[in-house]
Amino acid sequence: MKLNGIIGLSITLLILSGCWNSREINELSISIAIGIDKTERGYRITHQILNPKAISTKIYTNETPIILFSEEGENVFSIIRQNTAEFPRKIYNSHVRMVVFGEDMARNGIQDVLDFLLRDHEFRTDFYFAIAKGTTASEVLSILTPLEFIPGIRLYNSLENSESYLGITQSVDILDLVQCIISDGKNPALPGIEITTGEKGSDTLDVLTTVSGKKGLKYIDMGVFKDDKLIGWLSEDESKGFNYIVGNVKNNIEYTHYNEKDQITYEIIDSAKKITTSVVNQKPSLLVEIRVKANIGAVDGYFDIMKKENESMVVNLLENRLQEFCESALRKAQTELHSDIFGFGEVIHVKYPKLWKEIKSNWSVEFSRLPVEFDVTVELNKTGEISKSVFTKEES
Amino acid sequence: MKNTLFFLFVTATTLIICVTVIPNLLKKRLYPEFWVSIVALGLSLLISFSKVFDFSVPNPSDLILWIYSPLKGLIQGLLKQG
Amino acid sequence: MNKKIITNKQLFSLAAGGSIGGSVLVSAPLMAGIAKQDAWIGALIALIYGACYIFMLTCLSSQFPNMNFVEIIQTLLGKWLGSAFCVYYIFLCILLSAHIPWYVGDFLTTMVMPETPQYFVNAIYIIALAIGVSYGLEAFARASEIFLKAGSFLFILAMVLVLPNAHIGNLQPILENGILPPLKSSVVLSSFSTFTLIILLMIYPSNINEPKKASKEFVKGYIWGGFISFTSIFLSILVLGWNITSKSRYAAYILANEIEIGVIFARIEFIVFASWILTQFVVNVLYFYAGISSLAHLLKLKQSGKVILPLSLFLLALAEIIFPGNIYQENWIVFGWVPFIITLGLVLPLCLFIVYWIKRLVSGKQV
Repeated sequence: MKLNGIIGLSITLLILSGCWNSREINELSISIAIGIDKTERGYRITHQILNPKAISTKIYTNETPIILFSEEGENVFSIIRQNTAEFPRKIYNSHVRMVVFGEDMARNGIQDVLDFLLRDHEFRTDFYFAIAKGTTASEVLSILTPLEFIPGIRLYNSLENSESYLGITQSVDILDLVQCIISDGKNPALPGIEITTGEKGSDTLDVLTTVSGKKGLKYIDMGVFKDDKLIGWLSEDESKGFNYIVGNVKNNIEYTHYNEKDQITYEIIDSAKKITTSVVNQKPSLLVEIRVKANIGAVDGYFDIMKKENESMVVNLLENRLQEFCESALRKAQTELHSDIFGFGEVIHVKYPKLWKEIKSNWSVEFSRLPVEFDVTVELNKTGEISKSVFTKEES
Repeated sequence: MKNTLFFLFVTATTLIICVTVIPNLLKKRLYPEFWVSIVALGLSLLISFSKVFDFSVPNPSDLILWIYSPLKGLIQGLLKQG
Repeated sequence: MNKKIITNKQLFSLAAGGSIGGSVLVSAPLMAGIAKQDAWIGALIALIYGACYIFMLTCLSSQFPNMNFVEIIQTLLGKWLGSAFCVYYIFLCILLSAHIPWYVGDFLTTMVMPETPQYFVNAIYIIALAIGVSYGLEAFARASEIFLKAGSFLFILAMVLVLPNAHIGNLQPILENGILPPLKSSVVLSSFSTFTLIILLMIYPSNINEPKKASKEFVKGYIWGGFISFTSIFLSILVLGWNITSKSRYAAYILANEIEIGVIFARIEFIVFASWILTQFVVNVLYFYAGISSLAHLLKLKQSGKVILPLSLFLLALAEIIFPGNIYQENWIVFGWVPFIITLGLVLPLCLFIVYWIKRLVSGKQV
């Protein structure tokens, strides 16, 4: 009996002594964003690391909220480990919110990096991707941002917001991205980030004490990929068109001119798309139906939107405007970039699997001459808090 | 280092079992139980030795693979990327 | 050994737990590799013929209401051939009891703690296993009821929370390459979730206290387990797409990574692991128990409880060498495990059935 007790005790000692490779929070440096650039030697990896002292509300300090760690080398994983030579703490990657690719990197192909991000156990699947347009990822990550002190989280939040309320970006997580790359009938498109110009540099804390005139970050345009290589950019209007076609718009603002100088502004509150395909003589064609619900946001001048006969004009103006966006996006993709970012190939794959088997090897050529028609229908919902423009003079 | 720990763990447990359980079995004349225990402990020790002194012991999974190796072509056709 | 102690509800949970535990994390990648986006159809097919298979098992064993599987084998196949099959059967039980700790250890060391040595995780798990088996069948059967409820609840919770991320397009086009690939993939699922239930013949019907209604509960338990496995495969394809599913190691866990509803329901993928380990434990105790009790029968052990401790240590040692790595393991599943379990789980009962009928015809009455 005594012996059993001893055995039991020693087993509990063994088990309850703690985790094997436990790492306490004060031994970790939490990485919030990662930037990956292509250099002559291979890659440059930039980690944006949280400075716990600076973001704690109890201690006042004038340290920067983030610390940048940047290292160059041939191999991604070994570069990430390099930091232990320079840093007292090991980098912890489970809280990464953004991965930013430099433009050069994106043009050279991102596939090899994605394999590592999927394979390593520390990376989760809920971070988003972006491309540093015309600059390097390490430049982008070195910008300090006001309001949200941690730039990585700022990038993450404003990507989600600009997707929901502006409709020009698309938040893509790693599973979506990988699926687009391996799919024959769809190519990825990632949002681009630009550094807005300002006189003052933005990598010191001083920048947070001034009101304006500093460098900032802004999402702009969408980078179009062919397989895993960046091949071109969609402009802002084309990005909008892209988002309408893939059904990604939740809330958006559009405006049209009803005469030379006066505008009607709409707030899109709902958008749905339906893509149908048909085959004539072994040639597929597509019809994209987009249904949009819109509120009136503002009316310039004296235009009477409450008149019954004007309603169709208000609707038509928006329909034409949206159609232009969609067509410009398609034109760019078909004639200039030859890359099917809309997933039209997948639509054909689902509906006509046999035909797809014949054309899929040659899809980028087939896509360039694919006839696509748009059918945009707008439904007016509400006119806002007022009906006619308050400045309309009653004639009676 | 990791393998040594494993070896120590197995050896220690074996010793404890030898001290506590085995004499009981003999006292109660449970000879089949005694032999099963001895074989099991002996094999565990052998495996833990093989980890430390770096020699290979036959893997029972290999035995299964060997038994069904004549069916390999059939299974290949049946199950690999249909 | 032949105490009538298992209630029908416990049989239900043992069958369901046995069917979930083997398959829920492991089989989806293999199935998706074979049948691509149609793997879920394969899961449905496996469920249908699996139910027929379980029905056959109950038909066979109900002819021998007081015998366990090893005794049936020896009665029908004679002493020498019967003993040979028994040895093979024990081999399966012991091998499997060492495989499952390997999976648990591999999961934890791949996904969470890569620097922890695998045997350490295995050791903790096997200590629990030894305690579970030494408490005896009755205590364990009661525990399995709780395990099944908790496991099913957690799993269904995870699957419901991940639903907002589903893309229906991932399932299309349905049956792109005909019905053959789903049929092939259903073989993989059955060898994890269906044929493994042969192990339950060690306690069914000899230890059941209400044998008359038991066969129904057995089938019902299997169908519940099959439904859970089907859900995991269906949602893996729906959320991850077949390509990522087929290339991931533990698809359902990656699936649960995607859960993100507001701030509260995020980063809770470990509930999938919790439900898996609960049901996995049920299977593992069943296998270990079956191994020990058939060993006891074959070698005429009087107190089989005395060999649990040495055998547990043996399992720990075995789990260390059984798979040199996961590349070996994935190959072994296809070329070793599938034919192995089909021989013992499908071919052997069928042979027994045939022998039984022949003997009955020859003697003209009940054997």
